[in-house]
Amino acid sequence: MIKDRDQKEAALKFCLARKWFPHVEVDIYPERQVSKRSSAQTDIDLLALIPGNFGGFTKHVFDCKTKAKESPINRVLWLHGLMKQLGVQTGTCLLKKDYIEVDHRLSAFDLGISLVEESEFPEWSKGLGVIRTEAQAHSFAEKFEDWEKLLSADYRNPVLTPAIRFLRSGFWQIKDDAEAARKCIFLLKLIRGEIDPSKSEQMALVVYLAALFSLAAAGLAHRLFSLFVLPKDQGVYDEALRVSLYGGRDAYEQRNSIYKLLVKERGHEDPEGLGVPGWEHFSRLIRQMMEAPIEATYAAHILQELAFALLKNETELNSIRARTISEDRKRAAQYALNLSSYIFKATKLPPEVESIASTQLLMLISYSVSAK
Amino acid sequence: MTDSIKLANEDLAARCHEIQVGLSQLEVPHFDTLPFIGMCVRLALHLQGLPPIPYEQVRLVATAFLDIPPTSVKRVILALAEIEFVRLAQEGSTIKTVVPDVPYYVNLYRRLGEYASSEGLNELEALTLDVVQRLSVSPQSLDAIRNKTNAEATAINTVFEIGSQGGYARVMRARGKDIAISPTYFSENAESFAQAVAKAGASSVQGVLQALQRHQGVPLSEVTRTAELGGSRLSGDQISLLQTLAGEGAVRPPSISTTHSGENFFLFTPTPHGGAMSPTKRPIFEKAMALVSSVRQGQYLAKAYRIKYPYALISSFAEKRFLNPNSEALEQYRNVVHMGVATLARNAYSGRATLKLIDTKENLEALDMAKALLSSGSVSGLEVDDEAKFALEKDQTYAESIIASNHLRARRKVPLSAELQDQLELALGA
Repeated sequence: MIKDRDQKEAALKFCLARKWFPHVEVDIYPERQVSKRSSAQTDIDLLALIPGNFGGFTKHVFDCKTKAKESPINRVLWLHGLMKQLGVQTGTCLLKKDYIEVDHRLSAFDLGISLVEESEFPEWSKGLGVIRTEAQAHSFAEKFEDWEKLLSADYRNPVLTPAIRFLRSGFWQIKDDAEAARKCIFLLKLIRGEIDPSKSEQMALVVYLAALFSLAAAGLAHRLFSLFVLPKDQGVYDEALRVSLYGGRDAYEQRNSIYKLLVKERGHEDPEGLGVPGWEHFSRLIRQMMEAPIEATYAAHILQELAFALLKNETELNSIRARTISEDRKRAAQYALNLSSYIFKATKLPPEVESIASTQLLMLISYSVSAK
Repeated sequence: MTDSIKLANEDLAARCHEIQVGLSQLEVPHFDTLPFIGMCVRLALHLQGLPPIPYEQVRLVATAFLDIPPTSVKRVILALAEIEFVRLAQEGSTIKTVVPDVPYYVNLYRRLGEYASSEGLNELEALTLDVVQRLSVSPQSLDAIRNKTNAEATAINTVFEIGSQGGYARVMRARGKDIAISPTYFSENAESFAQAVAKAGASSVQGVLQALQRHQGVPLSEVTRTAELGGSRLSGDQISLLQTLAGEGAVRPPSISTTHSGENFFLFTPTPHGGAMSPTKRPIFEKAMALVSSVRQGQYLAKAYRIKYPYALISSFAEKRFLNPNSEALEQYRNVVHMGVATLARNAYSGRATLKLIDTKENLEALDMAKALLSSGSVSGLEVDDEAKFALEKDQTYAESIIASNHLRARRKVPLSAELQDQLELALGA
């Protein structure tokens, strides 16, 4: 059962209205561990990714507390420690209080945190540009009960557990986009045999993983764009992409030599070397996202919306959030389509998965193109 | 003996594209797959990297700018969808929106070449491609083409009849011989190339061109002085071909005059034409040649400060947008300034000048091309018509307005001179 539900749902709607990418209830595990079985040390009520002006994202956390006895400044200091550990830039503490000391608010502000009383939240939102929250935020992802349904989809199938845990926690603690992208691919390959496209929770799970892959791919495209803008030479670009995907030149060469030895030991040869499955398609996808790295950051929003639409058995991706994003960012839905097509084919999920996702995304694209 | 060549898929698609651009709106009853693949390449090149586009807009632009007949556009789009270069949003059989997912670099050509192979080419198409591929490397004698392809004389004649109408393959007379040449690659100085092939043979010309591709922009004086090009010894005929190209051609190579080394010509492989180079890219390519000649001047013919690493210098210029003050810059970069790539700021006291880039999209593209010329000797992406791409990227109203004005321009007639008008009126008894 999710606690402080109303506050969190208000914060969630605020993020959706601001066109931020939200995720609720992120479990935080120790960064390093010596024990074989580690348990979560805390959780974040709501984490939001804010698209940057030059591509990529900055992170914002919401901490929601309804208990009247909570000390505001204590929550701020706790949240600041957590932000530091996770590399988060800004945060909001939403508290049920009648009064918060102004100087405590000032201390919070200096640490990049807004201290907000629950009763102030509507005006606070309005001041930050969210005037008609309901209308702006109409989104398939705005109900907490749907998040609960998505995040507990593994209860009946233990094979899905690593994917769910990654979605609830692992992805958000990875600091390198390339590593996050590789893990999304790996996990989809791991669970592919379990996925039944007729089950809405499972469709939502794989599409949500595609949304996370999309965030990582956008980060990777943004990094390569910063290196080359639009690379003219295929050889140079392909090599930079491979090397970036494995943490730089030294790390790549070390892993690649081990990979080649393993391949050789099994009597095969792979002249291309270490990469991700469907390399040509992947390379094309990242190169395509480099054409518009800022728009690429919005593809994940479309896929998140699609995941919840499928979870709710909606037959058309017609939420205001999906439509306004795809109208304002004309490549977002295109990238969502090409990203999902790549990852579902490369990880060999049942073909209906790609086909169901494509049908809805193509309808959305057609709507947004004709709406202009 | 037949010396038939098996075209790589990427070459197959590239040649189909050049031939189709040459044929433009000419319909050739002998051809089926070849022009169709050419149209697929052409449309794919222009859809590459673009956002979703209404199908009607694609149809308009493809017809008006890319010479794809209106009745063929749908077939081309469906083929591109089949090989997953585009996704289509359809209502029943009506295509509403085209969502591009076109591969980059050589993968575009390779995949379309594979598709062409699977579709199959008829004998005349295969022979045409074989001939055009040979001529893309160097002009050759017609006899050699006949022997190597082992094709019947009538078939070869048909290839050149269609080729000369399409402007991608023709036969010239030189020294009493028939020389086959591709205007796509040798539109400039065609006469000189034909003479050189007739005199010294195709392999000699090919040797020079290959060496020149590895050292684009080398000064003629340097080649004449050392009688070698990039470590390869040149024969007298080969040097004389280079001298002819520098001195007598329809389009002269870039030259730079300096007080210390006089006038020098800088040699490049012939500038592509037609399907291999869009007219909108030509001025940018000429700027790139000017940039390369300038750094080659500093590399081979410097007065005091020699450029050791031309590629690094151009890369640094592209990155910093300026080059440090240099006493030789005024003369060395004069052409670059005349072509609007950069300005020179002279320090009155030291006499040194700083080269400053004029920061435009075209100039940055010219710098990229210059880097490609210095590193690999060839430049990719020259086939794309920027106007067509722009019309696809903008909304349909914009495309329609551009198309309407183009259409009017195409129909405009040259007015008669007053004198001719008088003569006509007299003749007609007005």
